[in-house]
Amino acid sequence: MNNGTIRLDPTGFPMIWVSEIGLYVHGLPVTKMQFEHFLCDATDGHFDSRWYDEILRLNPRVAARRIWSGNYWNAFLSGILPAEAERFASWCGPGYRLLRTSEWHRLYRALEKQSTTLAETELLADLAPHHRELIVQVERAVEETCTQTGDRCHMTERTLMRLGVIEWTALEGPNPNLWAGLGEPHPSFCGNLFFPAEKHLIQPANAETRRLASFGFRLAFDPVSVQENQ
Amino acid sequence: MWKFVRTLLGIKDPEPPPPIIPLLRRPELPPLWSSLELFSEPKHGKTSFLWALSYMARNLSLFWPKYACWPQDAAMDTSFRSMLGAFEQREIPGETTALTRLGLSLRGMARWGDRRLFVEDDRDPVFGVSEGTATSSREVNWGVPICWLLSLPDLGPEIAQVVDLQLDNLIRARMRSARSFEAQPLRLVIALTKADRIPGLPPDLRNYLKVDPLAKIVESQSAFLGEEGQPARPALLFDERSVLAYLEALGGIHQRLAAWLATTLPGSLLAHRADAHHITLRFCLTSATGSDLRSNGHLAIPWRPRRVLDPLFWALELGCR
Repeated sequence: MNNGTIRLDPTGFPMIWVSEIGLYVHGLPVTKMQFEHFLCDATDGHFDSRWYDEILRLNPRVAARRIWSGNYWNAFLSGILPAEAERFASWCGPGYRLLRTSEWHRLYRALEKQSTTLAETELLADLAPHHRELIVQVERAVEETCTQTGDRCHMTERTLMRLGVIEWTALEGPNPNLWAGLGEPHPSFCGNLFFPAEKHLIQPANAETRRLASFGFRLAFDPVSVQENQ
Repeated sequence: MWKFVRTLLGIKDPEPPPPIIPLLRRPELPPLWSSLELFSEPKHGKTSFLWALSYMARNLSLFWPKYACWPQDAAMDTSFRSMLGAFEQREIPGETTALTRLGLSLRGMARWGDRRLFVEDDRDPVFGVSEGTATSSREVNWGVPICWLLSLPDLGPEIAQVVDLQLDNLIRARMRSARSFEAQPLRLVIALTKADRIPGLPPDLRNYLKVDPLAKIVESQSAFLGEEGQPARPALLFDERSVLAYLEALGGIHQRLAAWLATTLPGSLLAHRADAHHITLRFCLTSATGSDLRSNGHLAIPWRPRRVLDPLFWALELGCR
């Protein structure tokens, strides 16, 4: 899957190089901790404290040291609209964007057979202590979840493509909708019977205006597009 | 004496009234029992289950060629249409306040022939009893299989005690019934509802729930997925052999669920009590909505019921015995 190349995003969280899609991808869905960097920096009135209160009402915050298998999804930013996720991506800089649906599926296929841990992928190297603590705690909670159910704990689970949030992805081709969700959240976070391995897209009604507690996102970084623009 | 006087006066006896001809009475029809009795605590997904069951029951002709289903009267028809309408509109039922009835005649169900389904969506006389609330006063037919809808995610921290007490309530309610001694031993189907929200469900059981061949057929019937505008309907003839294979899988799931539940305190208490009362117990899993992706009282995506026919199939199968 990756050749050990890790890149940090502007908030200091790690992205993994995935050769199958030629992109760096966030190792986990975007966390509240990451998004708070953006909120501190946001200059327009949209992302104000009232906005964040609404987000936290849908999915409350949790401190890294209090994360366990019954609440780890609280660490991630969810309830976000696709356009807001795009704003975060553009704040991150050129080359950052949401994954496309086909990229997400290829990423899933690339990760699903890998049984390595996040530490083995060097994802945790060179991280700030509080970032590292959060990722380690989340991985531990996911391992515990898998042990409880007898589920596998491969990279798809450790990176929370399963058991995390539903991730906004950009739809390609002729489709009346621009966005679709992919993933399989933890049943306690959002009851579901989704099949991330199959090409089943979750297309909620009024996706661009209606906040759904279980929808989050992860970003990709495309180094080629940055070089081309330079 | 009066007869003598009447004869003297030439008064004739009044003609005797014509004999009352008894109206031709049709022979008494056998009682139209429902194929099952359905019980559930409030908020355990009974209304959602009925909506999803209505939807699936309407579409069974997709795999049973001779199947037909219709509501039993005009009121049932209104209720049936309203359930289907709510389903199509992606509504999520709130707390049940008014009594609604689902009464369907189901005809041509291959292995099980013609049956009736009559279910009241209200606070039932077993699990709906709580202070200050009215419950249904209708007589329960304890002779047919009983289906208990149980939502594990809604039981809270005292899950073991609750489940055990509720089974005890059920057994006591049956013993109080005048008909209990006529009836066969209790045949109980425990359907774990809202199974998409059960956190510790083993992967194989979760996969069983996800892969519902009957739901897939019904869904594909309305989804035009083929490139030439043709519905991509998978072919499945639910004939005797297929039904048997399905029931075999259902039996496997029952055993797997029983084994999984036996590893928990509520599950083992339940099994012991059922055993002590010689209850024929069957477990199954259902998810009426297929997800809990809700917003403002509606699902954000269409309902995707999974395995909602399983409790009915178990009831029909146990009812054959």
